[in-house]
Amino acid sequence: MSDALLQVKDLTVKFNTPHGKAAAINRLSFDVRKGEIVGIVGESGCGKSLTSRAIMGLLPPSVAEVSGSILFDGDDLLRKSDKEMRKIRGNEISMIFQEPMTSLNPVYTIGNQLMETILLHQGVSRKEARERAIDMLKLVHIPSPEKRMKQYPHELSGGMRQRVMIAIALSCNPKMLIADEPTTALDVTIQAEIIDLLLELKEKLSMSIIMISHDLGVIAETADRVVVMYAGQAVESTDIDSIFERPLHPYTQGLLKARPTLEEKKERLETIEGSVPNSHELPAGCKFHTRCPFGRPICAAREPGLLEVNGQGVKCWMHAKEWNDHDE
Amino acid sequence: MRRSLRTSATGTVGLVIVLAVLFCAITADWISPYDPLEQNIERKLQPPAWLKGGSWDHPLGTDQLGRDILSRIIHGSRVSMLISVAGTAVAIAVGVLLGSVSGYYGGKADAVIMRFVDVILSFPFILLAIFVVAVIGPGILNIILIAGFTSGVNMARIIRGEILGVKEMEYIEAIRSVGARDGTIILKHILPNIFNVLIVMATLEMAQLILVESSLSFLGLGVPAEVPTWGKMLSEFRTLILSDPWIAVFPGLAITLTVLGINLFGDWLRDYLDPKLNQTIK
Repeated sequence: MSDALLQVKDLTVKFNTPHGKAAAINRLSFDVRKGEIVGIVGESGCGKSLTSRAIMGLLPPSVAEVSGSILFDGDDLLRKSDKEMRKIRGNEISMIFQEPMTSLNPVYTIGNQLMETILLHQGVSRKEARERAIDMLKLVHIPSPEKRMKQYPHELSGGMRQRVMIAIALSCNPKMLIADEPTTALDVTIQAEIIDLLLELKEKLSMSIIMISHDLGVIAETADRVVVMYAGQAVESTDIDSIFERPLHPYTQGLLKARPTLEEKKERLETIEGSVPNSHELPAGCKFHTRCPFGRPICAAREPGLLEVNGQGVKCWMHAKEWNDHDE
Repeated sequence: MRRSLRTSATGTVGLVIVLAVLFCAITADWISPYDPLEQNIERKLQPPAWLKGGSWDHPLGTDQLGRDILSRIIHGSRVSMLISVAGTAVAIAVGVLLGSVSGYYGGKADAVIMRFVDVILSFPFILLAIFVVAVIGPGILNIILIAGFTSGVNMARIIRGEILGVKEMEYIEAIRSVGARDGTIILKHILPNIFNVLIVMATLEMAQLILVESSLSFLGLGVPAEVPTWGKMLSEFRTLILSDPWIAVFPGLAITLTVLGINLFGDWLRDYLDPKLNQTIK
């Protein structure tokens, strides 16, 4: 994997809770190659957003204990000082957020906020920064950018604000963009526009994207590869076609069944029984076995490793040779 | 387009009052008709011009030593404005510093600062002021420092709370995610968002400090005895209120009008600085 831009290895994030240390992310590993879009899917609370914050180094060290390694271009981000991380954030790795309505500071104009990031990293004059800011607004297809520069965030619609956020995030030509549920707060037509925009910009600026979403539809449209997360672990990771054609993990299968499709008419959508357990009361063995329709004694007894089946990574006993040994 | 002063009648009134008081404070030596310290015992306790027995020689009358009240009020604006403006500046500086460190960084710094605030707040202000004045001596500068500092400590708690709220907003995380440093985030991104609270606190504080000066001067802990101040006049005239009821009205009125002016102006300033209230329909 020499062409990997980002290699996350055994990433673990622990929080201090009244019940002791709880691992919200547990030995998570995945790679992002240059120019690739990796989707991270999972339910609320499975650690998707936490993963993005850990990569950006935005977790307060007083609260969160981060271990493992995050290699970005060969350098371990977890070993960088605060100052070094500041140079990376916004410049090499950028991030866009779920809530475009609150992601812009209400007291400054769009132009001011765009220029701030450029001035922070590029060492250019205000005039050049202004020109670059206008170019960025053009790049994200915002009409009459000169006029927009002088407007305040509340004068823009949600879709426009998300475009501005993208413009800010990309203003220093980062190598990687982390999009944390970028379309969740937008309505469906705007969603499609933003996704198209992201795909277009990815080609133009040749960057990698980590697309975090709970929406398999968004992932299907954008990602090259997918990591399915459950309770802070990657339970399945594979390319985009396999995940829809041959989901191996029962959790992934459950997620796919729980989604409305055009082909079949169902009165009710299927659900996965139960909910994600709290990180301080995770079950022993496979974290999913309490909700798994195929659960066997081995699942509760021992935690499965990440197995490779036809090039797909899956963390489930079903695909191990032990599965049939323990057949009752 | 920002909302200009012209569209706000109350803001204009406030600004006019504040400017008038500042004008008095700056030009007191030239515009006051008499020397504020000049005594004329023959003309003592004259009522204002429009009452029976008054004359236009002393438009607002004279006090128990025959000093011209108008001149004393004009000169009194100096000390009052100095203490209220400088004291508020000290208070805001202390409050913002302690409050933002405490609110933004949290953890141990927060615990230490907030316990310190608790300690300061548990002292009655006057007791603290007596203690400090006893140690470092009376004087205008000392009043400014002690009053500004204790109010600032008080403000720190409110500012901390406001910062805790703003700190969690997504735009703060967004600005961190593009690599801004802590100082920039606090000064440029958090403080402007609590500006309305700061303005309200500052205007209340300016008004409060005018009163603080008068109570300290009343206790003899404040400015030197010969310097006229509104608060001191008010407390001197307090004993005469039964025999000459008009006498305490003027320093009281000066304090009230100034406080009102500051509050009206602050109110307008808060609206003016809020981009959301400056929308114009195009």
